[in-house]
Amino acid sequence: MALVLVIDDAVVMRDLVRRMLAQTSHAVIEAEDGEAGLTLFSRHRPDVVITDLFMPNKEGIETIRDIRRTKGNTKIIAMSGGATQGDEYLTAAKELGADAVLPKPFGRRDLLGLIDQLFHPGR
Amino acid sequence: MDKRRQTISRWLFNAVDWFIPAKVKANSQIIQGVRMFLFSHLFGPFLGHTISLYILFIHGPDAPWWIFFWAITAFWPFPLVLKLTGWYVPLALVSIQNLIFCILWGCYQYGGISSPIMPWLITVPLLAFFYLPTRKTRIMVSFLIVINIAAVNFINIRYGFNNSTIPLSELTGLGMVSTFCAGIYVSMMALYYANIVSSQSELELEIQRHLATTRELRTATEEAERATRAKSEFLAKMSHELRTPLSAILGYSEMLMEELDDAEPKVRDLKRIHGGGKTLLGLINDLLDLSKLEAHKTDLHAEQFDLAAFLASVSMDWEKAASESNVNFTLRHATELGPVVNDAQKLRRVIDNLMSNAVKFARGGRVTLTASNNGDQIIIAIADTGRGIDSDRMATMLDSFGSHTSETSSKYDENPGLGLALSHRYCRLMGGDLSVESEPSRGSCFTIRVPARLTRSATITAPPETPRNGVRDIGHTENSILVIDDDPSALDLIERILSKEGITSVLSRSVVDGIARAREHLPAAIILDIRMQQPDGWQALRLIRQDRQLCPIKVILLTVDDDFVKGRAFGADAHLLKPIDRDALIRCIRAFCPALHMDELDEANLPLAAQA
Repeated sequence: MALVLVIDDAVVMRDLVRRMLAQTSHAVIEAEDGEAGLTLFSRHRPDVVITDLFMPNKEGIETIRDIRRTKGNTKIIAMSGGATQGDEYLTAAKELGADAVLPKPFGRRDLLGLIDQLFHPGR
Repeated sequence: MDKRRQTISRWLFNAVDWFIPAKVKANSQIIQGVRMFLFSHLFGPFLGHTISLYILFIHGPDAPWWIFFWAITAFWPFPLVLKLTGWYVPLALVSIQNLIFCILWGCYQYGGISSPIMPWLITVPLLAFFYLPTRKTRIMVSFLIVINIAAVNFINIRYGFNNSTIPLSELTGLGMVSTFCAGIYVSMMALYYANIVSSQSELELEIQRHLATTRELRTATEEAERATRAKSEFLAKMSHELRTPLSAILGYSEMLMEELDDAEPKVRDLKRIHGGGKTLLGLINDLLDLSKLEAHKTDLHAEQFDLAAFLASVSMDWEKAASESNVNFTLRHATELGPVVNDAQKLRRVIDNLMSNAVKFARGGRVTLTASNNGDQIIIAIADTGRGIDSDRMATMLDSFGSHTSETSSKYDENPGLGLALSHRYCRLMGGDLSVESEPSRGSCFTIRVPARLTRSATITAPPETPRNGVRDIGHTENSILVIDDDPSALDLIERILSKEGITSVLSRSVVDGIARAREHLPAAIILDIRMQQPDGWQALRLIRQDRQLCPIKVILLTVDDDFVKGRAFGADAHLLKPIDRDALIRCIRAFCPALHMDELDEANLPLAAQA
């Protein structure tokens, strides 16, 4: 069981992730931008942060960097929708400390597989 | 009036140019000299003969006169001989010798040292310098003049001038005619020369006008390219925006489909929603890739892979789709196709595009994928037994995606235009081509031809090779990468990652030792940690960049330190963060050390954005 923080300005994306994780043992909390996300992050210390990259107030890239600076072992998943190959933002996110990237759109199996992989690498 | 003058001079130029042989015409250095040569030979003898006729008039023909007459007439055939033989320099020298002979013979026979023909001698160096452009030939002409004058002097001293033919007093008229003709001759040549010069400066003006137009064009092109880039950025942003609602469509429909029983009638509708979403996603991807291609932002990632294994994995993916559409799919090629170096991901994209069309249109028929590799070129043909393509559409379907989308989308249930245009451009980008043959109602065959070894490794991630001061040519372990990190577990992990790629690593736990090993091995790249005991990674980086021998080596920072600005300032080629991301590291090495031998085929091949 993991606590998952979803940061996205689109309600539908937050809801989608919540629904995708509904039948698992993971709990989900939501934030609508990077700033709110960071507040929730410091309060709850989630195990996984799934963040969009383009958001008002605080962009995803900054959010990732700020979370990485806290030196916790929170896993960060950056989600964004660029090209299927060569999305510069996702690559940048990864280099700034995101543990994994999730290109939109993704299915339930993609998301669950990814979270599973983050906690049990090599499986 | 001015117009008529121009017409005449153009006619004159054309007449003169007719005699110039092609071989000579190509030589821009002597062409003007040749023109002068031809002009003086065509028109000069008329002036010369004024003198010979005058002498005939006052003296009558005798043997010396005939010699004089024929020597002048001998100039006329020169242009024709030049046209036939092309021997310009020898002819020019002979002609100058003949001219000197004419003048000196005339002087010798008619008036001696004070002969009225003497002023013509001035024209000799003038002509020689007009005709012959090189120093050597000019010196030869000077010798000719000196030898001829010496010969005449010798004859004069030995035998005395032949003053008996015509008394000097009778030559006054000849003097006037001769000087007049010489003047006209020189003026004529000067005018012709001036004309050539002015036509040249006109040419220069023309060139300048062209240059100005080119500059304007370039500005316009740059503006257009900026606009294309802006468009592509807009599309990229739009695609990000489009993916969120698309995520909802695909995500929810998928979850509902999983939750509902397949037999429920609603599932069929859900499948349609899901299928529509998938199609939309494909279109967005194609659109984005095309716009990237147009903005020249697409890179090729050359990698070595086994063609047969690659095709096996492609066909495995398509077998299911083919059988679902009741299509008989066969893959045909020689057992060994050998290793090839190309952009596997883009090649895959092209094949997938073509296969998807083929399977769609050959419903209930056959699709055959044939492949061969002749060492230079990979040829992959995808043939289907579908309805074929009309010949009028075939010409345009591979090109611009804008021209026929509406038409095709109404005729086909899905729009193949984007995928084909994209495939075509990918093939071109890889240095190859895509062609199509089709027979209506019999089927179509698309043929991909791409180089077996990609020569243009045009990637943002692979900067041009820096010169290596020659040190790299002498059999060092170029296949190695030096890793400097004080953490033994990091060293171990990196070594394992590299060895999986077939790369030998040289490991070092301190900067001092690391630098020594770098000098010893001259590795293809150095993977460097920053946070180490003094001296730390920054100092190592500075040392490497200041060392003549080491500075060309690529340095990849792999550290928890995220000071990218400093990394760039210190001259790191790339900056990756720990924890170690295997894919990012491999991509990075592949981008910077294309010469390194890598065994494995790696699917993840994204370009690096945050490299220094």
